[in-house]
Amino acid sequence: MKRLILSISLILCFLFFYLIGYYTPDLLDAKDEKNIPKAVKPISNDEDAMPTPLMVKKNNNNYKKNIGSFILLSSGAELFKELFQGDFLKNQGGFSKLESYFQKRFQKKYPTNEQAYQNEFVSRLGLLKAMGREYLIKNSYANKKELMDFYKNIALKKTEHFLVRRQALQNFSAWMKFLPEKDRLSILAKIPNRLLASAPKTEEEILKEIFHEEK
Amino acid sequence: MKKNNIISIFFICAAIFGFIFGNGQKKIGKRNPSSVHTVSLNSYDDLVCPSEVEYRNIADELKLDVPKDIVVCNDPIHGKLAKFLFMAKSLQFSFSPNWAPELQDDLKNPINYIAKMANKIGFDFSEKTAIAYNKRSTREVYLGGIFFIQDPLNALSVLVHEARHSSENDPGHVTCRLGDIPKTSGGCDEFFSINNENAGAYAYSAAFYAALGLYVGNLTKADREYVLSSAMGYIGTRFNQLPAELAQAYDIVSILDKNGNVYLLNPFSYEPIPMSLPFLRNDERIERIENNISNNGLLFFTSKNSLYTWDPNKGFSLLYKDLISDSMPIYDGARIRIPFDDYPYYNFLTADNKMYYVDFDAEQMKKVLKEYQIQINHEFPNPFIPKISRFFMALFGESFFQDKEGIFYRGARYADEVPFDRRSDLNLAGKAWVQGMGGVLFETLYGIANDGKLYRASIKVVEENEQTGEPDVKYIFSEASFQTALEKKAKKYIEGLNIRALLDERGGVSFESYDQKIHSFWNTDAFEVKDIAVFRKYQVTNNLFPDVMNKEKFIKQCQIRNSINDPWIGGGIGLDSRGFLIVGAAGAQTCLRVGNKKYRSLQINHFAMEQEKISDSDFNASLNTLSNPFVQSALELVDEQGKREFIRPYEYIQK
Repeated sequence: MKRLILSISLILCFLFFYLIGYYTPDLLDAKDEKNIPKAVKPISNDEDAMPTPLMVKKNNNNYKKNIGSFILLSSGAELFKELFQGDFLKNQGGFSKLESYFQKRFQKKYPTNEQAYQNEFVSRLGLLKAMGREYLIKNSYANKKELMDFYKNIALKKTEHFLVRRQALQNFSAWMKFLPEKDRLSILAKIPNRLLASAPKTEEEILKEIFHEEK
Repeated sequence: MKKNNIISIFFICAAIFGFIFGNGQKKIGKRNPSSVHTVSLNSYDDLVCPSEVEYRNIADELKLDVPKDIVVCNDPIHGKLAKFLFMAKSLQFSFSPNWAPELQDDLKNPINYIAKMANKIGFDFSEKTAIAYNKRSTREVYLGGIFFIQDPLNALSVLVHEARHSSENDPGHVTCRLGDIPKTSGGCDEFFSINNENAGAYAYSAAFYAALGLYVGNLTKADREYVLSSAMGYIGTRFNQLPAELAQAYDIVSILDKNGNVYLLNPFSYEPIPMSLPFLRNDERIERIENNISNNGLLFFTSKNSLYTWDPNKGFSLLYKDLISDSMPIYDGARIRIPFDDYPYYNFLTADNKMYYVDFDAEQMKKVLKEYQIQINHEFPNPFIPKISRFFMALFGESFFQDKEGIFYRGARYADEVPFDRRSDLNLAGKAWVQGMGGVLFETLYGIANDGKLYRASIKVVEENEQTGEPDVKYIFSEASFQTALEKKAKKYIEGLNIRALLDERGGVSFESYDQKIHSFWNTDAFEVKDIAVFRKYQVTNNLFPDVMNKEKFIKQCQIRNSINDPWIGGGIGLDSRGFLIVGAAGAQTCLRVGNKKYRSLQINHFAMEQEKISDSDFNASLNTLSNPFVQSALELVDEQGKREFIRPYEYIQK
């Protein structure tokens, strides 16, 4: 019996100090932190690093304070973080307040550098996907005509990238139920086949199809 | 030593080891990047910097020189490399076995792949344009200054891309020709491939991003959207020839006769071309056909309650054969959003009125079949569950259910709604629904009632719901504007990419273009048509039938003097020696004549918006590239009097 009590006491002691250890500030971290400065110098501020427009943009956080600059200029992971995890866009009200910025962004010519081109393409996709999210829809019923026209014009815009048009058409289709039948049919008659074929699918479905998941 | 002292030492040891293990355990949990995927993998601020030893081990593996006198996490170059390479080390892909199988080994462990393919990783800050490059003669990868301003996941994809350049199978980059990207030398791969023997580095970039988005669990929402968009970005901007699944598509109408035979209706001759159905068991026959949105092909519902699918590339197979057993008789199947859920799943209805849906199990990282359980809430403790016979998606994201009495129900979206809402405005007084459908984009709502008329719902906003932010709407059904050839009762309505069609109770099929300018009608005594469906045939996919004649055989056998490739069925279309329009097909009748008119010349014509004609050279150059803006293609014929006419698919008026 004594042995049993002793064993249990030892285990409890171990567990007690295990928990203390678990919740105590990390010894190794504390040691490491002494060696690491509070902020690592950003590469773009290094004089030896290459100054490119991309770099300047990526480290300029001022547009976070301004919705217009944000919609017009932001790109990459930072843009996606704000769009899909932050409530930046959510708190801006309906589409009417943002329309001019979105219009400008989508009227801009694509950059000629291929990496910058792709960044812009991916950013436009992200913006459209975020705009299609419920919070912007819910805030936009009063301005549905403006929003519908915006999506429709991108979907029908020949010079816009096919996959961006596809996303705009997907967003537009959320609103097409409000169109009279004649208008609906007239728009469908103008949309290229492959846009119609791909718009009802999600990106996941398209990527699984292209990479032959179901084969 | 006294017994008490020994016991004390035991307790002290327990205390010391307990504290050390506890503290260390926290360290492991915190530093293992695979456990922190709820934070972004695409932000250097969020990524964990490994220890000096861990980073130097990874660097050794990659043949990457790290100066001895630096503190890695404090170094502007190696600090970033350390973070995303450490993150890369922890990525765990749970691939579906059929997804790009030849690339999986390379993608599943990016560090191993980069280490295998690169003899060295170095720096070249004199490089002003490229993010990175591979010196192929020595298989050395050099990173430029721009590399270090990329987002972490992009930087990693760049390394995977450059690693692929070391492969002898990498076809190398070419000048972008016709896509939307500027005509940059070396900016594109000629074609997209997922085969190891010829996939280019951009295919690897796209595949890596897609694999991250599809098969790595616990990515943040922003990261997942970013990688999926980036995968689309590579596919959409870096190939002169797109994957077939994004190329120009054509409508092909399929018909089912009363004997269970399935045919594809030639879009010009209207000749039904029989499909071979070798998968059917004894006494089993096809009862119903539908479009399959997931593979752009067809669904076959059989008399033994099995559900098969078919598409031109992959042929026939049981739908979700790994999930649906023979003991599950399937009465209906479609991709819909189940009540109270946001995302569309493939749903199945069984004989005992149970619904099952195909879900993706994030823990197992595979698809599983789950029985649909109605959520019970306090407002509706005993919800009414109708005897469902059909279900379909409509009005963008809404799901509708039709019961055996022909009543429509709307599936709930919010917790305070009835799971199956039998709304009075969804049903016509004194009438029952025969069929419902949601349009080519699933964005509208059509229904055929038992009076044989086609109705469409117009949506009126009544008021905005304060709780959900959604408007309360009213459905107002009115007769749709579809001009049928004969005053017969409608039985089924379908929408394709260019045409919509209505099957009547006598087996006649009326076609109408979306601009409602052209109408045609097909009917023959030889077939009693029971059902119709439409699917998409892509420009660059194979012939629809294995025995479709090739063009040379077609020219010889049908005595063709002027021929073009047939993007609809495959084989050819041409004018024979007498000037009749002939299409090549399969089976008993190989030379199908279209009408009785003679023509002088024939070419294919491609229309962009507003009937704007595209030149042949532009068309041929951009068949499956991104600059392809074609709304549809048509045959352009010049008759013996020199008069020009166009015949669009399914718009030829049967004489």
